[in-house]
Amino acid sequence: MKRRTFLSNIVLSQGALLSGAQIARSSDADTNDSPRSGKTVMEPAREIPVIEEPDVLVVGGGPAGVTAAIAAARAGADTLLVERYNHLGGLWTGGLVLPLLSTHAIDKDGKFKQVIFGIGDEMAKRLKALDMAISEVNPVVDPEAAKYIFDVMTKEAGVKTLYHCWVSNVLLNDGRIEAVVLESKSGRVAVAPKVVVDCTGDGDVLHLAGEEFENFHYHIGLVHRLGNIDRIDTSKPGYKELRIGDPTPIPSVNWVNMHGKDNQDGIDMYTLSELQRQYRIEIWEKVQKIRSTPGYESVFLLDTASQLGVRMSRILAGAYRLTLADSMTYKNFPDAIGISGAWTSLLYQGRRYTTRERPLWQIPYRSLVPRKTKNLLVAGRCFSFETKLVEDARIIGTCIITGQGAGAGAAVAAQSDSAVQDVDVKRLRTILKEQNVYFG
Amino acid sequence: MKIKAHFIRYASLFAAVILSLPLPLGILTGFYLWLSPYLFINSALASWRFAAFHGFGAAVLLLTILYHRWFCRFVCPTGALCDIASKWGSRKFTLRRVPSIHKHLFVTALCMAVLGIPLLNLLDPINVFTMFFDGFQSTPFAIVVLKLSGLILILLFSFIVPHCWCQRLCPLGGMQVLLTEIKKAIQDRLVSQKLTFNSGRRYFVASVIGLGIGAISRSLSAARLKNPLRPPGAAPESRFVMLCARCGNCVNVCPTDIIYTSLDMNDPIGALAPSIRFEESYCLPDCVRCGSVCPSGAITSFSLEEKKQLVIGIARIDLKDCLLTNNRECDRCKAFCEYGAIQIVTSEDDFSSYPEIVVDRCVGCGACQIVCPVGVISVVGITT
Repeated sequence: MKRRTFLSNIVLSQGALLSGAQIARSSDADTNDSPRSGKTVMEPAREIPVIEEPDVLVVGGGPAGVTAAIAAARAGADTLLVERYNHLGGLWTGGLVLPLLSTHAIDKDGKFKQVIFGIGDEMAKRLKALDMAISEVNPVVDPEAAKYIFDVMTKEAGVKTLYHCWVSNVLLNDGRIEAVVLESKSGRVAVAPKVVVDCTGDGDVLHLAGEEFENFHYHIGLVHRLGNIDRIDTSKPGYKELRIGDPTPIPSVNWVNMHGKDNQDGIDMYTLSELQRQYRIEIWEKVQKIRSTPGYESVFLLDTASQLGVRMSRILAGAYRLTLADSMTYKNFPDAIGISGAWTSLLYQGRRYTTRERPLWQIPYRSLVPRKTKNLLVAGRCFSFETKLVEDARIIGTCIITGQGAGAGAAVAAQSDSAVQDVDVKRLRTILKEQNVYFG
Repeated sequence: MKIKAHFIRYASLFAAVILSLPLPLGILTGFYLWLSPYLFINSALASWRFAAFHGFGAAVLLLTILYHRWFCRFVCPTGALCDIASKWGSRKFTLRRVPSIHKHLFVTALCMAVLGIPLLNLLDPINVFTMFFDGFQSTPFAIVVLKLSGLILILLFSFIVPHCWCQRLCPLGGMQVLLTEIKKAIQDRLVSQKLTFNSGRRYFVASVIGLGIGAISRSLSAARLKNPLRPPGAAPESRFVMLCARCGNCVNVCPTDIIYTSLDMNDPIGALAPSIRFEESYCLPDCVRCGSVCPSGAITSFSLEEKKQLVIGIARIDLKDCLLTNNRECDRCKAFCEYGAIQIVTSEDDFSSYPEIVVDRCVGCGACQIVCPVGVISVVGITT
């Protein structure tokens, strides 16, 4: 088999790729790879053990990744999920961005209804059953409960999960990703999957695979939670109403969103580090101010999010770029993999659409498909859409829908040994329907 | 010759009706108003502002000096309707009972216009005609009644006393009669050295009335405290309410229906003048229509480039209930401001972010007001 022979030669290609990669990087628009000191070092080629050969490798365990892994496993694929932190759920849990937004929208008859079904709905229902999700529309969840549910659901589906590992390279051969290189406590290891799903949010895999993308600079924040909200003494002299965030399923805990600085590069390590430090200091000092206000003495900083709220970074230039117009006009795609909703107001063609006037919108399979790589699918906020659609494309509901579509699509591609570009869309949609995805 | 005159007249009436219907006519909306020399003179005197279309009014005026009342005979749609009404009308009253005040009305209007107040634009038969058709597209009921009543009254007059409007009352007709008399006087003076023009007391009274009303209206309009939102390119408020012919062209041509005919009991001077409200839509940055159809110069015609500087009002944000200020995920106002006039500022005091209006950049287009999910932004008029 060609794949096998390639894998035995992995050492050679790794060396060849390294030099190639350096040339590519020096011309790359990304600033984060350019050395600040001006110096470079040469990494020697080395042999890397291939630890797994799954049908589907899902990189990133955020809302998109968890859903993709569950969808792929349920579709019968041997699935491996790798995650850089110690939990699943990504920004939804570790990022403390607790609401599952865009669950609802209006249909063609103007009826406001739920559109996020399938695995996303299952997650919400299971969290509600635990009393760990509040509100029907755009439910707000408890992050620890969600982490637990995602572990349970991936376990039930038979997904193999590797925590604490980070994709560092991709080895390409003949337009295919032959191996994905991971950094871990066990050292540098390789996974050789049939199909890869990039759910990194930042599009790390699509970037390493040489796909075209746009690095969209957006605002980055850091969410935190406050405890003892139920112990605020409003009768205390000198008490005044302060802005202390929004309720979570746990009555004594509020979560506090942060808009943060505008126009930030979400894939620049220096930017991320500077913001991380600045925000943590700000939040601590802010909470101390709250604590020094009469009535708020027992309020405390429960936690700051374990990951920065990077709202946007890389966006794939895929086989199809989904547009705002598509989302506003009930555009029908023959290869739709699901439907997402809307969570905020916007202006379109001179008219205001309030949240409750926004149409549901289909997401085509092609917007998850890269232009070159034959065994890579992209889901989550880095899938292919125009930036005007960003508010609804980057949101958890949409991540879940694209995740389920990409996971099932990857399973179909792996099982039929076809390129992702040639996947039998009819079969894919049948599987997604069986998985309760809503198609309008 | 008579048949031909009738034919041209009814053709003109037909054209005027077509052009007054709510059709997507673009720049031709309310086209007949551009032909009115009366409106041209008024606006020229009142504002010293000229639009390209004022050329039509000027041309008609010149031709009027050469051919007496040709405009009434061939073009005026109101005249054609009056004729029809007169034909069916009663024979009980004759013209002799009606004093001939049209020339004096014109002189009054002229004097008011010199003071910058062409309010008698409302008596222009073409404007009355345009307003009638505009009335069908208006709301609420009071505005409909006001807009429709002009033409109905004129036709009623003509029905009761045949031809009384055209022959005795119409200031546009009066203007033409006066011009012909002056022309004749000059000719006589040149030929026979005789002064035949009767300057008379009546003109003096008419002038005094005009100047008087003009002065009073000026002081009234200056005293108004509130500045309503007017279309972009509108003259300063005190002049705008006076310049505006209330024809409804800008209301009808606005693609987003933000311009409406205002009728505020607290603001009688601005009655029926176009105002702006932001409900579903806002003032599109790529639209210049209202300026291009205004026949009076109340709204000057402007280019897309010029529009960036034309201020309707200024946005104000009530931060108390602002989502962003309350740590919610929202940046809608900033995202949809096409003038870069909203920035998100982080307060060093309590580390929360809030939107802030960049005063120099805000033109009051209303985009932020309508997109705000909690309705805490409103565009307010600028007090000068």
